[in-house]
Amino acid sequence: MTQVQVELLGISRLVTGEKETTLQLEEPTFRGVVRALAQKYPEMLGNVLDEDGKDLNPPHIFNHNGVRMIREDQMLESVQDGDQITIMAILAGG
Amino acid sequence: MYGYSGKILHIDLAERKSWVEKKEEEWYKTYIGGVSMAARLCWENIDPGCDPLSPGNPICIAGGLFTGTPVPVGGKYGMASKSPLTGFLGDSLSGSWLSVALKRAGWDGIVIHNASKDWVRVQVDDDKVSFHDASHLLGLGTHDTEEAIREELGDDQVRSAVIGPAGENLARIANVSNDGRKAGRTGQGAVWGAKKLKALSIRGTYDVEVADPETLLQLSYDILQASQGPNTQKYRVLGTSSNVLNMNKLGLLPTRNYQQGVFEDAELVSGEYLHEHYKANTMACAQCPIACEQVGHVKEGPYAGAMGHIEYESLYALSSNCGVNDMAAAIQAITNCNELGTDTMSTGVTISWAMECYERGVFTKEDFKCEKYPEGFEANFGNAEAMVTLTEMIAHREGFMGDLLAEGTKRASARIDEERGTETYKWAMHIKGLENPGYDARALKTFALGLAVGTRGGCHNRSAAYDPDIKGQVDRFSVDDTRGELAKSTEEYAAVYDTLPLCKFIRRCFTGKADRAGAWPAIAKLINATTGWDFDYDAVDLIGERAHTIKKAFNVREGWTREHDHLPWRWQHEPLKEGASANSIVTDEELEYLKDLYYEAKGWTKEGLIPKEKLEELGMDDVAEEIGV
Repeated sequence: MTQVQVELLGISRLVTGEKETTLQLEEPTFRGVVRALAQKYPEMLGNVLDEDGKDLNPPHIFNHNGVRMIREDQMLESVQDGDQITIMAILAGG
Repeated sequence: MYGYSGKILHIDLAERKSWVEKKEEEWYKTYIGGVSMAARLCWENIDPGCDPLSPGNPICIAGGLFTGTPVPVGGKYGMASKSPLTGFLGDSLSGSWLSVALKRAGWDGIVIHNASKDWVRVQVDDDKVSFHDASHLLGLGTHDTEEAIREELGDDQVRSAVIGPAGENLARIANVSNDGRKAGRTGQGAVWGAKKLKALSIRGTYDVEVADPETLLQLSYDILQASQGPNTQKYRVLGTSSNVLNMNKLGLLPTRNYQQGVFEDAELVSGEYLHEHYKANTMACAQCPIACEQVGHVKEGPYAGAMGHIEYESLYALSSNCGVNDMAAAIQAITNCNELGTDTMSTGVTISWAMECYERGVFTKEDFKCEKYPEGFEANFGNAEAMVTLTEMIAHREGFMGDLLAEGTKRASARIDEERGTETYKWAMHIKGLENPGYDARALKTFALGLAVGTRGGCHNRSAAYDPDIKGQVDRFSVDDTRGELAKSTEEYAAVYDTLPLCKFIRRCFTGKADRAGAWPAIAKLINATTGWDFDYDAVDLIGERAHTIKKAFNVREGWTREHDHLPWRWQHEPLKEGASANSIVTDEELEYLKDLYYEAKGWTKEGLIPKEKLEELGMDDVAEEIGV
C-alpha cells in the first residue's frame, strides 16, 4: 500500500474539521487519492469532490509536493510513498 | 435602443452646468459599458498630456449593460480618469447600487469636467442635476458621508459615491466608495479631491427596457440557480482570503515587502482563521446572489470594534507583507483604509516599503512622528500598531511620513532616493506606479508578463495570466513561446467581464466551464436578450480586444513607450530564497523576450505601438488617426 500525506485547505478543511490526513492508497494515482478521500470523508462529496467521489470539483485542484499542480488530464499519474499532496482552490480577484 | 438610454450626462463643476450627449448604437456596440466605455469617454474628454490632478482630467463613469436587469452580478459600473499614480489610464470597477441608480436615472454614463471652487456634492435626480455645498461633510469617513447624505435628504434609498479624508487630502492612493464597495485602485479618490467633489448622489425612477424580457428572465434564473452550487461555494463560505494559505504553499505569498514568498505565521492571517475567529457576516454587491464578502469583526483587545470587508488582496497587503501576524490588527488597518478612503493594496505595499526602509536604516524613529506618538515610533516588520497608525497618517497626510506615503510607493521612493542618496527603488514594489498585487510573479512567468504589459500597472484584475501558471497549464518557473498569446488571451478574457461588466466569480455558472467555450455563447444570449442585437461567440470575444485596445491607445497618447512595461527591480534581481518557489527570478532577457512575444500576439509593432490597420480592423478609425502607426 502506498501512503501519502494530504493537507486540507479551504472548504476541505472546513467540512472535515481536519488540517491534514494520512491516506493508504489501493490505487497509487491522484485519482486513487480522490477515491480514498471520498471513502474517508463522505462529507466532501458534492462540494470538494463530485457526487460520485471520482473527481475533484472545480476550482479544487491538487498540488504535488509543494511545486506541481495536477491538471484534470494528469489524474491517472502515479504518486509515490511519502508524497505530500495539498487540496486547494485558487480564487481570482479580491 | 434596448438596454441603453443612448445618453451620456456631462457635468461641469466650474460652471455648475450640465448637458446631454447622445450616442449612436454603433458606439455602444463597440464599447458596451464598464471599463471599456469609461476608457472611451476618457479618450474623448481629457486634455491629452494634462496633470491628473488638474481640471483637464475628467471623471468618467460608465454603467453596466445588465445593470438594473435580473442578470446576476451585473450591478457594476466602471470609473476612469488619468491616474495620479501611473500617469496612464486609471480604471476601476465597483459592484454597487449606485450603478443601478445611474441606470434607472436614465444615463449610460457621466462625465464630470473641470474643478469646483468650493467643496461640492452633485445630486442627480433622473434628468435633473443640482449642486450642493459639501463643506459640512469634510473630514467624514466614507460610511458616515453616505449616511449624512441619506439623513440630509430624508431618503434612505439615495445612492452616493463618496471620498473620505484621504481623497480630500489628495492622497494619490485614495479611492472612491459606495455602499461599502470601492472603486479602489489607481487613485481615483485624489482626482475627486482635486475637483473638490466630495460626493455624487443619484436617484433614478425610470424602468430599464430590454428587448426580450421573458428570455432574459429565464437565462438569469438558470445562472442564479447555478450560482448556489459548488462552483461558487468557496466564494460564499470563505471568500477570497482563503488564498493566503494557497499562495503560502506555493511560495508566492508576499511577505515583508516581497522579500519572501512564505510567511511563517500564514495560518494566523488565513481565510480559514478569519472564518473561525472573526467572521461576523457575509455581504453581497448589488444584484449578486453569491455574496462573497466576508465581514470580519474584532470583539476584544486593542482593536475591538473594528469591522471590515476582508478580501485576500487587502489581507496580504496589511498582514504578511508587513510581517504582521495579528488578524485583529489587519482588520483594523483594512477598516481604516475603507473608512478613510484609501486603497488597501496600495496602502499596505507602501507601508511595507517604509518598514523595509526603517529596517535598513533609511528611516529612523523620528521620521515617524505624529500626534499619537510625538517622539515617533519603531516601524519594523511585524509591528502591528505601526502598520495601523500609518494607515491613519497616510489618509490625513500627517507628519513627514504620512505626507510622504500618501504619494504612493513610486513617488515616495523617488523622493527619498533624491533627498537621501539611497537606493530604495530596489524595494519599491510597483509597476507603472501602481503597487503590486498578492502574487509573487518571480515564479509565475506568464503572470509576470501580464503584469509588466498591463495598461493599469501592478494589477491582478486586468490580467488573468496567473491562471495558466497556477493551474499547471504551463511550467510557471520557465518561459516559452506560448506566453505572449497566453498573456493576450487572458487579459482580453478578463476585459470582457470588466466591460459588460459581470463579476468574474460567476464565470463557472454558465455551463460549469470557465473558459471562453463555456461562457461566451451564454453571454451572447444575455446580450442579445437585453439589446436585441445579434452577438455570437466572436462578437463577445471582440469586446475584450476592443476594451484593452482603447486603454492601450489612451496610454500611447499619454507618452507610453516599451520601457514602461517593466517589473519591480526586486523581481528581476533578488531570487526568492525559500519555499516552493525558491531561486525564482525574471531576468532582463526573459522579460524582453516575453514582451516581444506579447506585442507580436497583439498584432502590434516591436516597439509595442498599434498599427493603423489594426485599429481600423477593430472599428476604431478615429483612434487610428491619432495614435496609429
